[in-house]
Amino acid sequence: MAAPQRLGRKKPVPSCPNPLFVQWLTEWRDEAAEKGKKTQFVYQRALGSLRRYPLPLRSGREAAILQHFGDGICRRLDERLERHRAEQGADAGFEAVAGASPSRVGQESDAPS
Amino acid sequence: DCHKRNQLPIVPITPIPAYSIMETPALKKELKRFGVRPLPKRQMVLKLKEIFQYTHQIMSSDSEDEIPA
Repeated sequence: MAAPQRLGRKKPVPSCPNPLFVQWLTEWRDEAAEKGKKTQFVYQRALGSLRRYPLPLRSGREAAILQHFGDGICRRLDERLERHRAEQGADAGFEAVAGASPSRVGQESDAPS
Repeated sequence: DCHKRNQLPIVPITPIPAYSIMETPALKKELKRFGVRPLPKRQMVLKLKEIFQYTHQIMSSDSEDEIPA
């Protein structure tokens, strides 16, 4: 017996909720690979879990809940994010990183110009 | 947004799994699918609910909606 099924229009979810983090980790992985460094595998594993995570992340720190994300990667992401915000100006702030995330109350998105 | 809303197909919405009564190993396994590491149990339940809600948002549930009969 089937439970009464709810019908509705599903709001489309971004297929890549964290494009910048994916981009940066990919860059770092490739850099490490070029230099023949073992850290390429660390970045590779981190990319694997990041790609499976459907929610937009607001910081590198928040990414610490993901598998294969250690302190080092989280810190590096935060540093890179700060630089990105500084380059883009305050406007680009968070939306650019995360894609629009619903019902989130403002993060401090002021970047030095 | 409004016109977009009407173009989306109407689909069955999966009910949320009973995360609150799941055992810890099952919660870990569920979260692993989303790339999330094992966390304290309560936090895992919250995270799974957050993920589910984010990926199962209904368009017509907010403001001016005309729900078809």
